[in-house]
Amino acid sequence: MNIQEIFLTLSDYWKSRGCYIAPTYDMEVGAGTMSPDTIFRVLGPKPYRVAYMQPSRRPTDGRYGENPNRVQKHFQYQVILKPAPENSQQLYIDSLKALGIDLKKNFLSFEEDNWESPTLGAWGVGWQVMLNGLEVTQFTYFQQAGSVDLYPVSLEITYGIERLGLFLAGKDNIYELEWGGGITYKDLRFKEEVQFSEFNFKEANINTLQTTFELYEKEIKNLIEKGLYLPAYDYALKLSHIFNLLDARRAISITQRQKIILTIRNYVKEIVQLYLEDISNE
Amino acid sequence: MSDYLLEILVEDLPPSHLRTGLKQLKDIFEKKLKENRIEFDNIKTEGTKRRLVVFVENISETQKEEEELILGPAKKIAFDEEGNPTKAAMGFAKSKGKSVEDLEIVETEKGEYVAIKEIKKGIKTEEILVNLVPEIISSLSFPKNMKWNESGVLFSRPIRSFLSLFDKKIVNFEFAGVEATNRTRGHRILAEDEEIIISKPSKYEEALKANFVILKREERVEKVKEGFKDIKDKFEVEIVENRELLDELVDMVEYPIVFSGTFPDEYLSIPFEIIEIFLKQEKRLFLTKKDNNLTGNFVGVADASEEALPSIINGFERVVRATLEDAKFFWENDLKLDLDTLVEELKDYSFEAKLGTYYDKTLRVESLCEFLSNDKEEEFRESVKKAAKYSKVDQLTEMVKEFPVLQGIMGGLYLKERGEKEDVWKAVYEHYKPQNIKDDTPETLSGRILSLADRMDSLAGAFIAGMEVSGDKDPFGLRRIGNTIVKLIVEGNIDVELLSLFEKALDLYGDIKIAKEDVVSSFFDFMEQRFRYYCTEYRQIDYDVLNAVLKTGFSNILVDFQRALSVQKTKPNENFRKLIISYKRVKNIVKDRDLLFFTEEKLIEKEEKELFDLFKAVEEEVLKEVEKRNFLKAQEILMTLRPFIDSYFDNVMVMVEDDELRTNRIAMLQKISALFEKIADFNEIIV
Repeated sequence: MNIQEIFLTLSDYWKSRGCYIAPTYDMEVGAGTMSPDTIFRVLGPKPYRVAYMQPSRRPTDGRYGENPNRVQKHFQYQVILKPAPENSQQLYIDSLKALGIDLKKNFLSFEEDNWESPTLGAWGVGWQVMLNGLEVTQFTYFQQAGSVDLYPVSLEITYGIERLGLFLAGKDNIYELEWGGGITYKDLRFKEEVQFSEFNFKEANINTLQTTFELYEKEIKNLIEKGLYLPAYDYALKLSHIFNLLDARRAISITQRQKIILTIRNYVKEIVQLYLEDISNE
Repeated sequence: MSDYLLEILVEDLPPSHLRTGLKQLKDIFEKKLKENRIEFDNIKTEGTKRRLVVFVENISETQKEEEELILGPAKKIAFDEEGNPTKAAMGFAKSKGKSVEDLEIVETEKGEYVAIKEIKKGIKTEEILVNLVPEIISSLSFPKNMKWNESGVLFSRPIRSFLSLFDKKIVNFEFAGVEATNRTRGHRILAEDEEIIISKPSKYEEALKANFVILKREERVEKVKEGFKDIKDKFEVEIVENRELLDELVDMVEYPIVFSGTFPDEYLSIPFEIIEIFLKQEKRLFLTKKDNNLTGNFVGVADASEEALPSIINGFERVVRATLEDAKFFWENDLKLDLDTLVEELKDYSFEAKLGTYYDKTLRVESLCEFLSNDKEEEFRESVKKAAKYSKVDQLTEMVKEFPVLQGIMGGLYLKERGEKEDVWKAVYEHYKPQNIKDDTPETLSGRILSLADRMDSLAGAFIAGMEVSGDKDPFGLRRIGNTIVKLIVEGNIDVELLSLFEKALDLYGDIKIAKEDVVSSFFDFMEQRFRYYCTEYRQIDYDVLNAVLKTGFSNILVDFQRALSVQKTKPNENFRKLIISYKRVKNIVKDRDLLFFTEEKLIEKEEKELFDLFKAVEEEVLKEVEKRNFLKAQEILMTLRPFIDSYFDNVMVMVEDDELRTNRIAMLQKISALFEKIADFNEIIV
């Protein structure tokens, strides 16, 4: 099964379980959770089911295309089931079966891993799901987002597409994976990894990043004041990405790190409050 | 007699949650059943990652009957002066359906009252369990709790079903939106989560076994150990023992199977410490050794059947290779870093708010190391200073950012690679030791000095910043720092005046803008507590011995400890006990008095002259031994005084009318007492 078959199969599977298949969010994000399709939709009382593919950027994970399984941009397949169903684990297991994995011939384990995103003021309780020692999924009962307690609780399943790809192809190197249509992961992504590693670690201009950070902060403040929480949130995502780049450039001290995280978290908190106010009027 | 079985089926519990959950279940069940007067033979708990199980053996069908005493009016109201029952008494008896003859008099806190005994019949155990079991389940608490459904119940992980059987009957209850049943489920993968009906408690374990669940932890451990043995024999390797990991793994599987794989030899060039962290902590694998050298074989425990072994081995080998590739990347990349540049970069890394950067800390620790090693050889002093300088640079390496447990270790390894002397690299390598009072102290003296200097600096900073320890609150872990400082000084044989060391540490922070005396005084109170803790908890020194030692001062932890240890060692000696009793007579007279002037010429009685003559000789020898810190010997010499002190008190009156004579006698006892107190105030010892 190649990469596109994986995410198409997952989409098929979750579509038939009542999910809306959302388009990828068009912003630089660190994880599928950061998409408005998750962070806003898990808030409030309305039931909701969504699944989508989300490219996720982690600048410090760049390895110039030299590491067989670490990349500064990878693909997450994100599923949100709200409220969390009673047969959560079984639903997930069935999705692996849909991918053609014979679980009796492999070792599946749920290992404690409580996910947390300090910048989003979000956390959950759950597991990293391992297949023969390889982490393929993050499985989380979402407890808080935007520093707000969630009720009902949503289930978040985040598949690592490359990891599943390696597992299914029995390969060690993600660049050797076939994406589909005769194109490999290397064809698509290798140059990007080399160039972005160069950018993340060496070329990203620290001054520019710091200045942009300040400018975007002004933008957010204004947007929050105007009650435009959706664009405000986009700018919060931008801040988060700049923060990650500054981190890759080793331009952040421990205290600064705490300060920046707190700053972004507070914006997200205000944004989420605006959203909750808005939907309470519906 | 019947059996009661409860199984709470949950989504995968973390091992620590399983352990605490089972312990609480046993304790609370026992307590609640007793409170409810339900008899039973035994309560057993077992569990796996998916189930918390309680088995109550031979539980009684009904509650024990109970005699209940119902209080009525006070005796003086219930009976008149002639002892005849009043209306109040008759009314009370009637209201309970009894006659006045049934009334008894009981003594209460408020005086005598009349009362009626009633026999309360026991309720059926099943009926009690219906309410009791959900109450018990809701009282369990875990290190981290979560909500998962609209019940809003907090538990470790979602509860998916209850099996609740009183013999063949279901004890019905509902909790967290889940109803009690007579059903459970088999292994999620191997038995396809098959639903199983359990007819009675005694059939439960075998039904699980038939469905690939080994309920008993001990059996799972056995199965793993057998697997280990096969691997040892097959590959002729030793598995590096790790009790903690084994304990964790057997709680993460329902049907354990042991597997083994290999990684390429090229990764064996990565330091052992790193491989260990990556494979053990990250992948929960055991390492193996042959002739005491690490081999490329690793061993793991899976929750699967034989037929999965080929893919498990293949999968883990890939994962291990990728992990080691990462480790190699970190290690080799960090080796390219220039340590001197990193020292400069520490200027950007704040140590604690208000306490400057790690660079500042490094400078302070360097000075403290210099202070602590000023009686050593020049070359050694330079080494310790150098170690201090580089002690924190590994905070900036990718490896330590990724694996904070490797702090210190990595710094040491990088310095070793750079060709530094052992006094330098090993000091850095081990300076986070000891982690607690049970942990080992660094092997090298330079490591112990660096470790002490680092902690002393942190503690001084904490006191300056006003960080506090109170009750069970110790957010900065100051107690641990204090305890390990005591341990380092005592076991590291570091001879230093605590005051001068602490003042040095304070001064290094520059202008601190708070009253130094206050900081010093709270520091000494704190350290005295830590010293007591170390001595009592870790060295089995008695409270009275510590009181005796600390009564005469707390200034040099090493010396104060040696004093305590020698008193403790001598304490069981019969002559020593006699000496203490004699000494108490001396102390009784001299305590709370100003120092008086003594002249030998004024001694008149034979016994006081004899005592003083001997004292002069003894004093000189004792002081010599004390000087050499040979407190055991000093105590032995003091013991020779004992018969003379006794005979003095038997024959000489101290508190005589004559002012001059009395004053002089007290003054002599003061001199004697002062000599004893070079070791301890023996008056504090309980004999």
